[in-house]
Amino acid sequence: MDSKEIKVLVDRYFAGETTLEEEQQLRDYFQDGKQLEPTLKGIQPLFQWAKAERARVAPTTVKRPTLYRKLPLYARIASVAALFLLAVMVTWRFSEFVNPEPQTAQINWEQYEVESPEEAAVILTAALQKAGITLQAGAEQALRELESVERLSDPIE
Amino acid sequence: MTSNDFQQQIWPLRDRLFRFAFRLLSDEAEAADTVQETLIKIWDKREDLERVQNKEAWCLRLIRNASIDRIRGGYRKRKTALDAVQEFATSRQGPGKEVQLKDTVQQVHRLMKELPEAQRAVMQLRDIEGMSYQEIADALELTMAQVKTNLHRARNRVRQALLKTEQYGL
Repeated sequence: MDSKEIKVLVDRYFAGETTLEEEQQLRDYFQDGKQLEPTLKGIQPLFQWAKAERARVAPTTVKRPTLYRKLPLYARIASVAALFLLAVMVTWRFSEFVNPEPQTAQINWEQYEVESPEEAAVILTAALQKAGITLQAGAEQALRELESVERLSDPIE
Repeated sequence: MTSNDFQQQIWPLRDRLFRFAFRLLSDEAEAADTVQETLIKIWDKREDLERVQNKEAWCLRLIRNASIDRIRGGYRKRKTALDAVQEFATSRQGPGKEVQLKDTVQQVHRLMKELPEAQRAVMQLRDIEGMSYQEIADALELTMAQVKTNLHRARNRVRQALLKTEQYGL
């Protein structure tokens, strides 16, 4: 194709009258490293760019979405419920492990039950005696404390 | 639509969808994200896809709308547009042509960014994707007259800018 034919084709290209095949011819023509007239040289980048851009492809990071399968609604609800149940169970078992119930000795309180009125009287008498001894000891202690306070208030000889 | 149908009819469109998204967004990472989200959306709507006659046009419309939404949402460009363009241009040429092609691609990429969105989209689908006027009209929901007008204006704007650069070195 000579430069005259190319110029005609270029004019038709910019008028929007070329076919797809003719536009491909223009792209092929302008790729070669031939000597071009200034007007043709000026528009060469356009056709070089167009050919270069056609080679651009989507990166490999773009994946097929069919890998992401959408579960039916009932399956999604069931999976959420299962996860929730699992979380509750794990939390419950974990709390038992972290805060175990304190171990207490088992006491047989039946052995301390009063079985007769005589036994009850003996226990009561002992308890009252002990209370009396404690009260008397407390009173004597209080008296001693008072005496020491009085000595403190005596004038120095 | 089965997984097999998707594999055969939709998956092969990913490169075209990516190039279109990149043209509108000028960012490879954003374009990739947009394509991924759109493919997932298409898969989720696969029952609706059965009723669509022109699936490619429908997919291009989805990508376009998703890209415009991203632009309006104010996405953050993760790398400059020129970085992506430079890497792309230099990865495919030998050392001798490397610099020249890089400059060429950068130059036209900059000029394309300055075009209105409709003109940019039409020129992308015609000059890069090789689609017919009718296919472009279906994809962009334009009339044939609008497609031709936008294409004519886009090409001539780019031509004027290129000739000015050639003449004055601007």
